[in-house]
Amino acid sequence: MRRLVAKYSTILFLCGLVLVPVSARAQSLVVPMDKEQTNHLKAYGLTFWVIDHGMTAEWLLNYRSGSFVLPDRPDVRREAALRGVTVNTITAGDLAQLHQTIEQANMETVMLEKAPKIAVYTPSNVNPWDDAVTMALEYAEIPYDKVWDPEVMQGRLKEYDWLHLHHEDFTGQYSKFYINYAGAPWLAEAMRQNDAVAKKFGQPNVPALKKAVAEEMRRFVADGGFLFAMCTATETLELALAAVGVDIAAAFSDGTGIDPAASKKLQWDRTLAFRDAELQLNPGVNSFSDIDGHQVNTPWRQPLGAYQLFEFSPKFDPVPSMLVQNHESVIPDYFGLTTSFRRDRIKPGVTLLAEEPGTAWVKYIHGNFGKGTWTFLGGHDPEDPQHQVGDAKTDLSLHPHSPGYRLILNNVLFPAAKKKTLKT
Amino acid sequence: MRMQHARTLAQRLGIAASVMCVAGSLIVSALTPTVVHARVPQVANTGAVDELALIRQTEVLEARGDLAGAERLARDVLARSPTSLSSLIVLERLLTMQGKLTQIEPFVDRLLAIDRLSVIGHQMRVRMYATVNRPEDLRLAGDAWIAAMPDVETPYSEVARVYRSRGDLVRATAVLDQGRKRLGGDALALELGDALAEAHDYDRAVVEWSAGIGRDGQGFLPIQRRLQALPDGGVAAIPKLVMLLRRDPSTTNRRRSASQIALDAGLVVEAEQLARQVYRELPTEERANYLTDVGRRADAGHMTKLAYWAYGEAMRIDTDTARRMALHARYAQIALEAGDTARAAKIYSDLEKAAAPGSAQRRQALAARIQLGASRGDVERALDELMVLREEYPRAPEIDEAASRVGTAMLDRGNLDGALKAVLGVRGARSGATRGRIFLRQGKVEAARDELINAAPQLTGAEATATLTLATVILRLSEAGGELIGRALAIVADDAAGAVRLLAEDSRALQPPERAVLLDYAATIADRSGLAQQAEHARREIVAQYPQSSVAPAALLSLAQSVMSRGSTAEARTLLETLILDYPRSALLPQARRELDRVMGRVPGR
Repeated sequence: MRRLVAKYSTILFLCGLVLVPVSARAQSLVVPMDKEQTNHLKAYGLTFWVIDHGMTAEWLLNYRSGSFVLPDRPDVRREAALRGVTVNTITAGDLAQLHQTIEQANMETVMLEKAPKIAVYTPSNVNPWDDAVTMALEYAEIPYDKVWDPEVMQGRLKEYDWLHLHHEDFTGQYSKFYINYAGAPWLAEAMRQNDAVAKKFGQPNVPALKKAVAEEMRRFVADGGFLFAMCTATETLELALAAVGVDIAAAFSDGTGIDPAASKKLQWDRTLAFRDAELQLNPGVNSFSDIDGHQVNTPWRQPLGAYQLFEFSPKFDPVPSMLVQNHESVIPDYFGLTTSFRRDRIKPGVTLLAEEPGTAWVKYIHGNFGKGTWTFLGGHDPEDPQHQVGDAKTDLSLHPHSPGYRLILNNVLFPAAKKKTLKT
Repeated sequence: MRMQHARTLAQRLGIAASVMCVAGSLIVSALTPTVVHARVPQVANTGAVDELALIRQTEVLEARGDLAGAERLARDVLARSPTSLSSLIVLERLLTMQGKLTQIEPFVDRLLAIDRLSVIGHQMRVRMYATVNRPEDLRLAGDAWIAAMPDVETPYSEVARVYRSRGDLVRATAVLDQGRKRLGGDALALELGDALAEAHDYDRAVVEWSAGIGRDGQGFLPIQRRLQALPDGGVAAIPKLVMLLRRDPSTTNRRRSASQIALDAGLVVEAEQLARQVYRELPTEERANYLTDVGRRADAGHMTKLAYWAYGEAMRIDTDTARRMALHARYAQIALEAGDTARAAKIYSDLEKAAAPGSAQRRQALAARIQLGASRGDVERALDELMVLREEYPRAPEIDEAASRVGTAMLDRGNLDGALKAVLGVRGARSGATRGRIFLRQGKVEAARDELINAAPQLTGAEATATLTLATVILRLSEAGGELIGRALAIVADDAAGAVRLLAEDSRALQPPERAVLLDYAATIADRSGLAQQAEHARREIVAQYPQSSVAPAALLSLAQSVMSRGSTAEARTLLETLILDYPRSALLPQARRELDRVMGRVPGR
């Protein structure tokens, strides 16, 4: 109800804004993020561009679906026009009135001051599937670097604020693609590359290399980094962290079979998000464990539904609030090798950000570890519910309002928030 | 040597059939031992029927998810009957699913101890070591299999196949070479060709495939499939293979294979030479079918001259009247494409005479002959015959097209009255569009626009687009502008560059907005005629001289696309940014932004 009142007051206020003519008194630009916005995804890129160029921006949590306030300058207007982002002019007086409205409602302003340095963990070879985060960053025109095992093993993660992991298999089993794609050139190339890196860093095999990489990532978060993972990266990162001294990889990848008692030997105190999972011991079944609620490539696959974003109070929970800003609160689900997370496999204290009501799984979770934070989002591509190996890349210019992709971009901007506002 | 080859092939087929049989249908193979296994005594004290029942039971347990129970049962069967191949395969599957495939080893060893020639046993051992990634054991298992049966192709081909699936093409080729050395002749030619092609060694691959086709051409079809599946479409391999197949000592069948490969690959010169040679060499009774096949393939591959020759010869020698009639119409069209209008006219004339009076065939032949006459320059006669057609068959659907052709021919010769006579009163989109062009030439812009707008929805594809574009353009023109476009259209078919030049130069006398529109239309004509440079020149003039004109945003977008196609990303970006920033109300903005994203690599390319 409180949110409803806030929405109505927002609409009334907006009517006032629209009537304000562009004048010499104009000082700011409001980037609306509700349905008036013509390109939601590029709006994030525009905001990132502003802070990346030494200016400050405001994120108006819960105000018109998480709008932004940017300085009204010719270069900002130019960038907005080029990107096709809707901006409205606002005077200093209007802005003050807007702040007052926000102060009195279930809303909050967050200053965005420093553009985070972004790293995407991805191999140099070309995989026959797309990567939602890379596509979102490219489309929104947000700069990023690519890192892979060598950079991670050389300790270079500390150069970055934000790290993204996508369709990666930290158990070292190449996503079990050998079941259907044994002999495929891209898989052979991936194996060759991984073997070479393992040798280079003195690891006996690829699963051992991936465990070491996962350990580096854990350290990155503990030291204050922001980790965002999707799809299999979420589940397998956790399995790799828990499997200290335990063989959880099939013979295909390390020459020895999975330890039949591996599930019992996993050390869940080492993980970020999950606990008590049972490993999938059968190398012929394309699943890693029972963390995933949907199990897409198994005979016991669960159908897709829709997930609902939780609502938070931004004054008390600014971080989860930032992560769920959206113009849609119910979003159609999409598969990935890890689509969702079973509730009974999630550690107490983890913040649930989105769930499929009435089911045993959730979609989107967040937590703190050491000095840093992590966020896991299930599924592979928010605009391609059943992305298959070899499918064409999603063209995001056809989905400029994608609510699923907005969640990814919320995560990108969140580290730019001024530290003092982070209350959780 | 031929005998030896035949024997090894039979052995190979027998063994391959046994492998497929076991893999594909467990029950059948369990009850029907193959040639190889018939030599092995069945050790089991359990009857085959009991064994079958036990295997079924394992399947039931497996379906229930009781993998351990199913495994136990399969182990029991094998303990009693170590040569039960079905049980062995079931156990292999169960162990694989449980991640302990290596436990199959003692069972395979036992089978091979009893039957050292068991193809299934050897194959399973090789497969297991490949799956668990034990390269040294894999090598030893492959060697053991080859040592057990060195004079058949199966072990060499199967071991090589496993290496190929692991991407180890060097070892795969080495195993096949070893087999070739042992078996001699052309043994393993297909397999060697495949492995070499996979390693992109097309020079050696085609030598093997050439051998695989054989002197009698029997191996042609599998090779054809392989060529079609090559990643580069066979560009590297096909010319070499064709050359090898032609090289003496060749045979007619090998040359026939070569002609088909050359035809499918569009190797015009080779295809024509080979087709003529094969035609001469073939027995008389096979010639007509061969020529028809060559004609169809050449026709599909746009090798007009060869298709023309093949159809012509086929019609000359074919005694089957129905088939000759079926070829007639296509032959006439190809005659036209080949530029032999006299021949085409003769064929249509023959068809017209042969068809019954009042029949659809006769009407169609007459209409085709009129169109042909118009395009051959015999316009006056074509107009007379058109009038006859219109009188005899007033509702004929062919009249629209024929009238349009005659009218256009008259228009192109500057005979506006004759042109109008051809199309006046004719119903149909094409004759309507022609009337529109005639009115343009007469300076009747309004009437021209009405005709073109009415015609456009009934046309399809490029014709509809062109007509609609023209109708839209003339909406913005004065009588002088309309007349200028009419003149340009009169020469565009023969001299597109001249039409573009005419529009660009003669429009200088017109008002700026009208000139911009005509430059834009000139660019459109240039695009359609493949005159990229002229199109770009016209658009640059619009952008530079008439930035306020309504066609300026479209000119910027098209310019950006054309410079991008040359790889000039920076200029494309500037042009698109200009369009977005300087024309914020243009309807092309969404397209410009998408294009900008593509140019900058932010979204997948086209």
